[in-house]
Amino acid sequence: MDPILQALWIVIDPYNLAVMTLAGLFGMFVGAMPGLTATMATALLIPVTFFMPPVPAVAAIVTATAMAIFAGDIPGALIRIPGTPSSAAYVADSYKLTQKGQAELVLGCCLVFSAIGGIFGSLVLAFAAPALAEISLKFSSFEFFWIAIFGLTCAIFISTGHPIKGMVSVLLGLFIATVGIDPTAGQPRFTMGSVELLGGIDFIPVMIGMFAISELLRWVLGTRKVETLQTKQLGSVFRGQWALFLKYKWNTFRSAVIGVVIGFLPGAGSDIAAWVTYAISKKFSKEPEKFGTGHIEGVVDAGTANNSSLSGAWVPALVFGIPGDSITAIVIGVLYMKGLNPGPTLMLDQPEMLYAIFIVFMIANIVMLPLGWVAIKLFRHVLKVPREMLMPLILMACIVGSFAMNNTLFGVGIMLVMGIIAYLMEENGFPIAPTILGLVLGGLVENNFMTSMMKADGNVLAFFERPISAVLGVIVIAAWIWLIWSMIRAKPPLVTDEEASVT
Amino acid sequence: MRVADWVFGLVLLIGAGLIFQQAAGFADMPGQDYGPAFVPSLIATGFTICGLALIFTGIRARAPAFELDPGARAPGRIFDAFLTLGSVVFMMLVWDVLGFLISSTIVLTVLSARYWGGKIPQALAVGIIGSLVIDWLFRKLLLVPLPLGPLSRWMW
Repeated sequence: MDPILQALWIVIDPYNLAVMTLAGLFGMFVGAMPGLTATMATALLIPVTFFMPPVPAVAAIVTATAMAIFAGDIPGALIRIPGTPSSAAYVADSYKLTQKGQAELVLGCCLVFSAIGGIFGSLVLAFAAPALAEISLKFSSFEFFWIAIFGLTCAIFISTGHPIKGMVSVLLGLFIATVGIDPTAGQPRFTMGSVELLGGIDFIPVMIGMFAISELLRWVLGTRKVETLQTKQLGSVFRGQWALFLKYKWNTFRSAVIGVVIGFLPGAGSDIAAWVTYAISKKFSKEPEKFGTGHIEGVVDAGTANNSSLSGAWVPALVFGIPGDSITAIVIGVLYMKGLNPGPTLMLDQPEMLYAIFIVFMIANIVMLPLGWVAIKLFRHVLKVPREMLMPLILMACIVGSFAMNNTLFGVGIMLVMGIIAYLMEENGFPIAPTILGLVLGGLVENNFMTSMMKADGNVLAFFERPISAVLGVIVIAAWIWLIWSMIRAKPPLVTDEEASVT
Repeated sequence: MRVADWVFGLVLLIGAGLIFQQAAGFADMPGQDYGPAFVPSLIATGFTICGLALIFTGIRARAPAFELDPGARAPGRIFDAFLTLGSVVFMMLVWDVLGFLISSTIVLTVLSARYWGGKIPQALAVGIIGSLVIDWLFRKLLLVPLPLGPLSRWMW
């Protein structure tokens, strides 16, 4: 049977559709709740997806994250608190529009343009991934080594905060990846005599600790202010969106493209896509003075880009096995657990799986419109859920989730330690997404380096002997030279207090 | 909690030293220049460079070694943080003895009562209902072997 039809059958299975609906509602809830992020939604979902077949597992993550990124706009517009960091770029504009009595327009705009961005990103994914996979089939360990190094380089320099702190974060991830039995010589490394550490540190508890426990600690130690909703009942959110689209169609297209490209780059996720497109939008706008005072243009641009980057991040994840952001880093782990090895061979071995993932992306972004409408209507009630009740439950879900990976308490311990480390890191301006990339890519970098060196008999110049490998190598080295040079010249302060307090 | 950059730098240097010391004991790969110690040593070198940079900038910034955020200075916040982390340790200690349901009910009730400022009935409801739902979801639906502890004689 044709793989596309086969994929369609897998996706329209009632079980899969039920999983997607539930995951969508879960994503909406987490995204709309201030303080809970889309990455946290993913981390909390993994223990559950662990017990599902591959396609529903991936579908759950895709749907939940797409919804969470959109739903983060709702509290941003209504109570001036971005639900997820990806909505932070345009929260001033969207809240001021609400104050001007245009809450329906801005919420509808967030919803419709999130869906447009998401659908555009899914189309790029569907067309770019197979084409790139074909090229990457010719890659050997030399090329994969450079791609992984390029990913780590991006993670250091693109992420928020100072490059030195980004580098510490990547190195920490790489170090965690070295724990356990070394893949080439069988040497146990940094196990401190523990049998459980011999198998390495499982990255799911690390992820749950870094993205959920740290958030929880921040809430416990934070102000715990109770937000109240000022706006009255909302009217139709879809009115006026078509006119908005016609007016800003060029903006929408530009931001969708930029979002996808930023998504490609490892380490840069939807939050960075939103900031960058907001800045570009302001620069090229005919009325830049209106930005920040309640102008819809920036909301259109950044709202489109944060969702298109979400799909863009899946391209390197599926084609090279290199995550484009922290969410796809989690996904790569899930794919490996499911026996789907992300990388060029996925297209050859299981094309129906890949097509199923593309279809899931499409459906998730289309279903976003009705589900998002419901979320906007129900937001009043979401805000009433007491955080005092929710936080202990999230803690318990984290504990059980970390236990469930290997059915040992060891995972719970890892979760606790990593949660404390991530909290201290974020509070002091160290980005945590690079740690996850380092952890996922660490094994890949080392294995490909060792394999290459065995093939080349220890000759490091072999990394520049194959054409693609040489080009990649030169790009990576040039990037480092340029970045170090600009760092020496600019001498930026490590992290200002304002930056450190932004999470 | 704010920690000065030089403290992070110092921690990184100590970590780098420990990695170097451990890596020196790793076996070589016969006939290979690069063995299991290669990547850890590179990482430790990176830690050393970053650590020195952080110490340098941290000393120039003249920030106190440790400082609490304004939010965390509110009364009881530090206690809450230790209670939250302590409850994870408590769960690990009594996991097999008390089983999941009992220990989870205790932890959920205590935590929500504390966060909520002593609303005991509501907290008790969160504890009991929350534990039953999580237990059902993971033990019955997803077949995770959550321990039952003393309840194993009566529970389904």
